Order: sequence, then C-alpha cells, then structure tokens
Amino acid sequence: MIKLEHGLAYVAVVLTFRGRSLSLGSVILDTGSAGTMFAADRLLDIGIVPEPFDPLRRIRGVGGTEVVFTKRIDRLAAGALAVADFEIEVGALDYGFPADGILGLDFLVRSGAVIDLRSLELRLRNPTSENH
Amino acid sequence: MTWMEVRRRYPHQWVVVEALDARSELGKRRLEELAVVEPFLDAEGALRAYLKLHRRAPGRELYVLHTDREDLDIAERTWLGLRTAG
Repeated sequence: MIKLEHGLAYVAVVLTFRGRSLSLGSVILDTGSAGTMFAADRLLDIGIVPEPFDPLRRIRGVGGTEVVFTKRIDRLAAGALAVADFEIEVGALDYGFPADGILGLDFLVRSGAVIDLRSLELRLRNPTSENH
Repeated sequence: MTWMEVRRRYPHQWVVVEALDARSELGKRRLEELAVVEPFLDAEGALRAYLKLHRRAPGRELYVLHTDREDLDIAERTWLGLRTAG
C-alpha cells in the first residue's frame, strides 16, 4: 500500500539482517534515487552498526552531502515485493521531515515492481484483467 | 593529519573524523587532511556521536571510520534529493 504525504509516496518495508527483522512504516518511494537508504538510528534496533570494513559511500545531493556505510542484508520486502541478499546504505537521513528510509530504483528494478498510483499499490505485476 | 597518521595515533579503534581538506576525483572522495573529533571503543558509540554532530552541523564532512581500515575507498554517488509539497 502506498500512502501519499507531503506530496511524496511512502511505503512500509520489512528488512532482515542476520536473522533479525525490522518493520519500517515510513519509507519514501523514489525512482530518482539509484540506491536504497535507511536511517541509522532505526537500524540500531536490529544490531546494524558500522563494521570496520563496510564499504563507504558519499551521497552528493541538492540538499547537501552525507556519508553512508553499506550493508548486505538477507532480505528486503515491501508488500508482495521482496529481494534477497540486497545492499543498503545506512546514514543519518536528515531531510527535514520524517522518513525511515528511501526505497530506490535498485530495489524496484530487482523486485520487478509495478507502481500503481491509481490504486496506490506497489505490486509485482499488472493484473491481466486491467483494461480501463 | 593524513589517514596514515590517524591510524598510527589511534590504532585498532573507531574514530569520528572531520575532513578538513578533501577532493572529488573519478567518482571517489579523497581525504587529504583529517582532524579526529573523538575516538571510540565501540561502533555504536561512534555512530551515535556522528549522528548527533551531523544533525547539529550538516555542512561538516564527518566520517565514522575504524583505523584497521588501510585505504579509504569512498565512492561517490549523486542524488537529486526530494522535493516535498510542503
């Protein structure tokens, strides 16, 4: 289910890391982001902290820059969509309004997502009966 | 300090560092001159300190690093960011 707030599209996700799962209710759906990012303070709940050799990345954006560390997680799911062994970016994610993360194009492509903004659904494929 | 000097002075630990001089080159961020903001024994402590500092001063170029890391291989990616409807 997609919920529209502040003019943005939010979805809920469940991420699993080393056997522990976490549900996040406010993740922004963003086809303009190449990567998928989550707020570091939320991920502490399932023991996601930096490790000495985690790959680092610097995200340069209009709103400034921030440095993230990356993790391979066991699974990331949004409704019916799910991918296994997926790389996420973890950072401060301060953009002036509440968000647990950014669900980027990498996840949407790998999971084969259909973003239906009429029925506000994120789903696997178009139902064959959709003719209107 | 260079990263080599930070590693020598703070071996086998976490540090929050600020880049005083850095440049972007071929999709990588090169950190030339660093200042150690604070060393930490654990990653969570370092991360929490970083998050607090970043929130207070988002313009500072801060990193959470472990000094066992030899080379700083920091990739860069661009993101246009979000525009809300207010």
